Amino acid sequence: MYQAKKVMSGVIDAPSFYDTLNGRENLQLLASLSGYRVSPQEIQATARMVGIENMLEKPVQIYSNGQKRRLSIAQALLPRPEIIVLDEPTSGLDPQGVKSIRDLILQLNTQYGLTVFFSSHILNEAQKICNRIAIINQGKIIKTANVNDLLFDSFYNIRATPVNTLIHFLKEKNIPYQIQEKYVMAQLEENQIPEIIRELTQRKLAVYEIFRHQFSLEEAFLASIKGAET
Amino acid sequence: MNTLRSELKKVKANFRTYIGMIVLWGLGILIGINVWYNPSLLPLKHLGFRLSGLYIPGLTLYPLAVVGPVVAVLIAGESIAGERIKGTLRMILTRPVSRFQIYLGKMYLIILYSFIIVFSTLSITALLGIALFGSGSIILPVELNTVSAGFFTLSAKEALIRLLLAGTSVSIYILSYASIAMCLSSFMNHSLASPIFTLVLTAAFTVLQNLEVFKPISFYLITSHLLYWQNFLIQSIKWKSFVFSLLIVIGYLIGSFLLGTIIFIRKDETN
Repeated sequence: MYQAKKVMSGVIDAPSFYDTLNGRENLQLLASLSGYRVSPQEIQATARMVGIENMLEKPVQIYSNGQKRRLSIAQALLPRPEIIVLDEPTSGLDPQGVKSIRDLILQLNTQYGLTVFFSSHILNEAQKICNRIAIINQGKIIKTANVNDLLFDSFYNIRATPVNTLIHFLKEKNIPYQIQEKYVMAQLEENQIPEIIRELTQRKLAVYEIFRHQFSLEEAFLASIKGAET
Repeated sequence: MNTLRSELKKVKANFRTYIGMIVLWGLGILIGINVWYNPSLLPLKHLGFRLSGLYIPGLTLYPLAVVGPVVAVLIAGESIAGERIKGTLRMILTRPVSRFQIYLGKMYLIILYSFIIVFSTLSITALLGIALFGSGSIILPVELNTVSAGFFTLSAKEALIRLLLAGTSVSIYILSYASIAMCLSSFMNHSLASPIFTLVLTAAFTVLQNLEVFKPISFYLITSHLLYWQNFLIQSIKWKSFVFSLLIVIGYLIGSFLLGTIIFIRKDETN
């Protein structure tokens, strides 16, 4: 556990600091608890990285929620971890604050090469930030997948007429399908598509569209939960 | 040591840390001034004896033993519960440091604080006493204000050693209360609950020790050992009763430390 904590840092959902100390002193204190002696330059650089370098000498009690959130990310970064765990890092922030924290997280990953574990109930946010998602239900991971695989599962929307002939064809081929408004959503593998198009054309169907169905993360989440419970 | 360093940073920035200390220093200074203005308070002064200024810190030991635990209990009681309420405890639990080390760091701080409030007060009053009365030997009648039973004399050096011993004893006494408060703080969710409960416990023990039915166990109550050091500067030391009393007080200290540590390690810290 302690070995793991040495390579990873965390940010809790509602970060609290010592109000009587300023930002710099809070960072020094928390870093020293990790056994790190941080130089003023390191603190300055980390504060710049998260965008609070101008607030460092001010007491934490005057920090806004967003600035506290940035300070908490700075304290997690100071021990130079390989992995950083963020628990609901945008909860309680206004839309502008949410966006700035989101941008910061993406920057940590893309610019500084940090692996970020990010937990959130706001699926739209997770969809915008994460490369890979684990869905947790009742404390257990029930699905892990790359976001694209989760959002673009093997379902394709087909718009073709007459619809009855299309449905008859899918039944004949034992291809699972669902009717969604003007589309028929069929579960296919990508390499089946050229053959399907050819067969549909041979049967005189007018094929207007075939495209991969994009789930929202919410749909994917609910489908995974439902699948785990059945 | 990292945990102690961080604890020191926190308390240094908290004005409450200094309030108790200033009150104790003020009390010591007032005691010195009071003796200066009321020479009759000095044994044998009316017979023309010159008293050592080292007697003044001796007089502050009692207020230290009464007020000191209250001051230390307020600091110790807040140390865990206060952080729990503010949310900073969850923050420090994310650091690569064990809960035992966190508890130990807070204990180190309380040890340091107990000794600092006692010895800073003793130092200030000793300097004041020496300035007012000089630094000679302590000469006291074996029976207060009568010379017929003989005299009890302490050289300045011996008085200083006994003062150090008494100061250490009072510090340990204060520390025991602080340790009890910290133990209670390890599972309480209000920063004042633990100090209040510790003081209520002290009041209850004080009542119990005077009840006839509890006489057989009164020796084991910490409140019975408030003044076990009290005769260090005016009589020969009764080593046996001193050591027994000290062991009881240390028993409370270690017992509450172990219990507090176990509770703190096992408690689930949720928000």
